[in-house]
Amino acid sequence: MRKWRRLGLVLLPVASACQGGAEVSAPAEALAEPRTEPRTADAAVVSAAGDATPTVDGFTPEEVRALLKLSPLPDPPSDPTNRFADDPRAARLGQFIFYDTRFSATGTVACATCHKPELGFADGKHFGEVGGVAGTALERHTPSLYNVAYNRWLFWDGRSDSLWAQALRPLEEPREHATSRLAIAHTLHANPELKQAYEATFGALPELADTQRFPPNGRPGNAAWDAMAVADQSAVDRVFANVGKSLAAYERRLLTRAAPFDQFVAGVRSGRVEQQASLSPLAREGLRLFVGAARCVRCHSGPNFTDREFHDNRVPTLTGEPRRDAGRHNGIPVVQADPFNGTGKLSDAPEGEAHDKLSFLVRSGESWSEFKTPTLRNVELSPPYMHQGQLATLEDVLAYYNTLERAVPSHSPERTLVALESSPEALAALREFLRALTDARLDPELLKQPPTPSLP
Amino acid sequence: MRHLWFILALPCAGCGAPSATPAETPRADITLVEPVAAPPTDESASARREVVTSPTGAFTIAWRPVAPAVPLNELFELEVLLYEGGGTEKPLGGAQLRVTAWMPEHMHGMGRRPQAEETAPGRYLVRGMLLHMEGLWQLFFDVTAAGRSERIESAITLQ
Repeated sequence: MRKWRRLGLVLLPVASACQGGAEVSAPAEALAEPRTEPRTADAAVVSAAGDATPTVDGFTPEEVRALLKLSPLPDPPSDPTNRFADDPRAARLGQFIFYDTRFSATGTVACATCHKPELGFADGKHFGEVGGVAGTALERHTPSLYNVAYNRWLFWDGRSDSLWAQALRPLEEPREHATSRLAIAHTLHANPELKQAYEATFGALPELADTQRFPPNGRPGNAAWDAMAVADQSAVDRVFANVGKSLAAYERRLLTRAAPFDQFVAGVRSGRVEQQASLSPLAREGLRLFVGAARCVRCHSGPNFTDREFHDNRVPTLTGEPRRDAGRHNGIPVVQADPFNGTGKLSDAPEGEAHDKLSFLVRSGESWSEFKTPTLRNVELSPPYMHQGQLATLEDVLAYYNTLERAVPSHSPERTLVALESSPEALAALREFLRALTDARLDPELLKQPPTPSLP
Repeated sequence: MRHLWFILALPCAGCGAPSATPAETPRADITLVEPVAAPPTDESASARREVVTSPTGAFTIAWRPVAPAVPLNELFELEVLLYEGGGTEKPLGGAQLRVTAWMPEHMHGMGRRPQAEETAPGRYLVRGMLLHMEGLWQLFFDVTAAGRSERIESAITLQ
């Protein structure tokens, strides 16, 4: 019940505007305490397991039990490897940096350059590219950041095991920010506002004024970096990691979990038929298919609509050429070797969960060209779809899954993917249901750079 | 989390081949018999052990999750008691134990290789299990001891 209350607190300030679905008119309090509403005796059936399953017109008890697993979405899981994950000061600094182009080699690239709030925190392109830095695009599509706090793995291939470790990679990637950990530390040190915000949260910066010890630019592999004392390298690595932890603290706030679908499920739990009207009849039919005959819920499971793992959905490449992207197969050794992973020196909890998460991974042929299952919440806001943006619209995605036409051979014996073989009407219903997963009512203050990197 | 627990009445396809992986010996033709244990209803209670004997009767295991129930899509540990022969009277220490899992309907495994550690004679702790999808999972316990290797199969359905 405590989590319901927390969810209610989040929902209360949310504006009533609703994108992509029927207007939501039920009060947030109804979501906050769904089980306190009276329910008529015939409004539920008792399952074989002994628990009461609400009845919903047109749905079997099995389908109802399946849909109840999809909402509500609880608070994001904690990240013990980042003790600043839920620190408001770290989140404020992270939000400031997210929109700040000074953390790039050219002074023109910020995280928001590709993760645009107005495009669902993605960029609308096939491949991520910032332009003007190295002149070449990345090999994969920019993913949305909505609900990124729930991910077990980051990047399409899961080559990072935490949000803070993920945030570091684009900063030093030559085709993205193209900067270095030393340059980042100097930027923080040189700007009084940034320095104050950083030190108030993370403690004193190193003696960066001494450019003999701390050259202006450098990272592992650069001569300037490699000539530094190990202790000084470690000090800069800590600053770099803390920048990632502050970015993660901000990104953990980019949540979407009060869609029309969630109102519908709250109505199912409470027995309030009028609340169930937040889903149109067509979207309800799509939901029934989603959890039933269409089997979407096999991979898009749980309240964030993802199993947080990896599959090969056999989508042809954008160019039609043979697949060369090994996906998860190559992501595994990278994440295990990452000095910023959850077991590393800069993790705040290197034992236990972080250790177990990494230690037992197995790199096999089955994982070749597997990619992470994305969330479907707010999915309509960030086309195109798939890891190369191969499919331009949700209609294209459903059409592909309907026939699996042009599906390419897989290295994996996995047979999770089965053609839907549904009617156009059924696909339209699924499309309408996906629209009902949209909740873009994020606090507008989170969509832009705050005036200062420190809290007032 | 509710579970349906089953013991598989199957001959062992991988007996004598401890290095075989589930991917090499997938089985879609599973025959299930009656559930032998009710799902745990008390969150504080330990799960009941599932007792399974290898096809030739050389080894017997009694396994259960360390937590009250096997979670869906979260890391968990198994406690496996290993015995010599077809009963549970003779604990078998010093054996090699490897545990894997396989979804026969989807034809995939866990993407993880759990590790077993003997914590007391005949008692093994298996770390690194994660069943990320709902449905029937076959569990394979490959036991090697005294120059003999056998595969013991069990299963769990996650809902």
